[in-house]
Amino acid sequence: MSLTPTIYIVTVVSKFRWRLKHCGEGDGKMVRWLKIVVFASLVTLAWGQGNSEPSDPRDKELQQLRERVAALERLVQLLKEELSSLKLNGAAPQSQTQLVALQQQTEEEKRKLEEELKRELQGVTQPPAPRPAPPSAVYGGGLWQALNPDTSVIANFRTGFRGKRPFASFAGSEFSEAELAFQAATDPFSRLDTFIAVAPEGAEVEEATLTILDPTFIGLPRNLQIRLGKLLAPFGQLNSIHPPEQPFVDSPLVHRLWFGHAHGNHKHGNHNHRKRNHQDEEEHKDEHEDEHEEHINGAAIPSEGLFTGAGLSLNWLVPTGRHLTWLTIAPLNVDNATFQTNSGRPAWLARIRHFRELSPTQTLNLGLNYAFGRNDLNKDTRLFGIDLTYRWRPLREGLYRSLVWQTEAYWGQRDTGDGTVKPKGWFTMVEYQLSRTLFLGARYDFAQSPDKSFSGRGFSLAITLFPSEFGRYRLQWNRLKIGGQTVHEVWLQTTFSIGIHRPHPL
Amino acid sequence: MRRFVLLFVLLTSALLLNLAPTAARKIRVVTTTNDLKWAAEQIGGDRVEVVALMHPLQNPHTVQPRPSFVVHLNRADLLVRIGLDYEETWLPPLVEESRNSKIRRGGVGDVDTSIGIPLLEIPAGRVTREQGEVHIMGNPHYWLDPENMKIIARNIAEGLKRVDPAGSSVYERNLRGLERDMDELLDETLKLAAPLRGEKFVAYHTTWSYLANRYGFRIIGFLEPKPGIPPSAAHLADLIVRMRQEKVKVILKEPFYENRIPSMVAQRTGAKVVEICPTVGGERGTETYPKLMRHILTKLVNALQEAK
Repeated sequence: MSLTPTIYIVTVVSKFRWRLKHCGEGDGKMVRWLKIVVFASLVTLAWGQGNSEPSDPRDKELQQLRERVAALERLVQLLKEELSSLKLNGAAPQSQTQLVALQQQTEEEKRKLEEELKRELQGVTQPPAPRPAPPSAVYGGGLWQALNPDTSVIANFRTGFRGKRPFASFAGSEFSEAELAFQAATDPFSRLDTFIAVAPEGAEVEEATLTILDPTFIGLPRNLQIRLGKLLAPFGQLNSIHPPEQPFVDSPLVHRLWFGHAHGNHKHGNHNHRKRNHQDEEEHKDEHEDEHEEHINGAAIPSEGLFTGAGLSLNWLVPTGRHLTWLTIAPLNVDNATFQTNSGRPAWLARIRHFRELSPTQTLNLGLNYAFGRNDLNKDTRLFGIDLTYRWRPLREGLYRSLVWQTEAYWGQRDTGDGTVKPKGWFTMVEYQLSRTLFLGARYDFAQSPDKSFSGRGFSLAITLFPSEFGRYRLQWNRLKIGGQTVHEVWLQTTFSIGIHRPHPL
Repeated sequence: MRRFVLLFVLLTSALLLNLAPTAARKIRVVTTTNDLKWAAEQIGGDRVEVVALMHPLQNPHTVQPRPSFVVHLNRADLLVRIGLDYEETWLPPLVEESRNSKIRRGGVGDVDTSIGIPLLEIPAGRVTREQGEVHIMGNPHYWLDPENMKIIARNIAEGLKRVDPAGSSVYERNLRGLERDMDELLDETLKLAAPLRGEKFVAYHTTWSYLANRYGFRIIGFLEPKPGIPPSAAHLADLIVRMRQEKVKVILKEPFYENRIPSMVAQRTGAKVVEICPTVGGERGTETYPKLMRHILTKLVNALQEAK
């Protein structure tokens, strides 16, 4: 509405109010005045409506101003929302341009400083220290805590039934082990990984390895990786995984018989007691009654077997097109059912591993393994092994479907002084993912004992439920035939992890 | 003795191979996602060759490492990653296995594009696994905002300048160009997404927080009760009631999540399920980042209009 009619209305209304004030009720003049006012108002409004089109340049300007104000109001609202969101998320209420400028300034300052220092340090031999990238933000716990190693605990509980029929007799519940892991980079060139297995029988360092990740600082090629300490022996693919993370409650028979250690002495300790005489067996019978072990010819067969040793491992990565080949040589001090290196001579292990990409969803891993060392009779023993692992995981449905098929076969040549014993063993297992949380596994395995005094074969079925990435429940049935005896076992295993545990994606 | 000789020969030959001269070549950039690949190509231009490790249709939590990943990482001059804990389940062991110290954390060729991003959903207080597979440093899906893409590009440019100082001026020029493009894209997409402002949606996972924040819509619930935890019946029942009360008409889901549960919820609420890939190249017509953003917003606007 323009200014002129407004003034007119105000004038008319003022006059009316003055008349109302000074005249009595029922005055005829008053009614006439009222009629005039109403008529004048209608005329004024109609005139105002008729002139609402912004034909006047001032009106056009006003209209544009109004639109701009509305747009600015919307913008202010938007900015207010962004600000409140930033505040809610704890970020400083700085604009992104300011943040980028700040970061740029820091980078520039760092570059200048480094150039300055480089000039000063010229002539002094320095290791090729990597230039640091902008530091990542550290949230909570303070800066020093960020330097703590990745720490995790994997707890493993088992309940078992064993007998001539499934569920024939309760074999007991046990806290199998807790695996404590401490893992961190020691400096820009190496990292330390320590795994301690704590079981009712005691604690043992399962693996403690210093890995030199960047050997260029001692003049060695960068594709060479050096590992020192107590290692998982490079023999087969399954042996690269710690027992709590393996796909079955127990290890395959060949691992248990060849690389395992019986309970009662030490979890992974000396194996010499395997050759007990009958009297000893009787004496220890009660001791072993509630343990999850089979007893054949006086030997207690452990439920796990892991080939470990202390020493050195050299691993050379050979990229071959889209595929990979690793060559590993490791002289290790080994102490298990197959090798005894008390004589002072290490066992030598060699492994060639070829990792092949069949498609974006399928990979194939082929390994050839060799080990040479001394046995418990202080005679030579050789092991040969081949392993094959096929993995499939679809791209879109990778969260719900996957398949792993793994087969390993080993042959041994054990010198006894009177001749050579040639034991063998193998296993094949498959694990199929039925849904996001459910996995079904099957395993068939066969093994002869290292001295070939007995053999065993087994079939296992396992169903595993993962309620989350950090825990699982597993039900497993084993049908074992060892030394002519058939045994059924039913296991219920719960495994949970807390903390940060580095994955083994390869 | 023979074994020691063999070991010596192997080490010596490896040393000689390592000293072989390298010819002049393009800068090899490895990115974890296709979105970062697009940004690295824009900044690097002809001076770089870029490879992305993850397939756009792949769930980042279930990446199955392939040998080619290690091969690419072994040869890389620059590794560009989303950072936070987005690739944490598979990338760090592969970087170590690649034997390439340049791209290790803190190395000259390591680019964490999350530096400088105003992060959303940083958990407050003590974080425990009770909260599910919560992203402890904040939501890592920050690329779905053109303003953040400018920061990503700046981080990549800084990384490229570190490994290839000779190309600094090119990278700086390309960065300015990308920043202009992102400003234009933002203006354009704000208009395109105007109908979404104030609208309510339900999503499968926390992928869309930055998109919602920029374009003014709200995700009022998730099919997952907690990040990474499969939906339970009790949770879905609560969600359905809430969707009915709040009249939510659209459910967002990524291609790598199942169809069954979103469909179950849609049937009971009358909502429409929209499948959108949040990564460049995951769907036809999303070969570049601007195309991806237009595609996502158009799909959302259309779904909303159809549902109404």
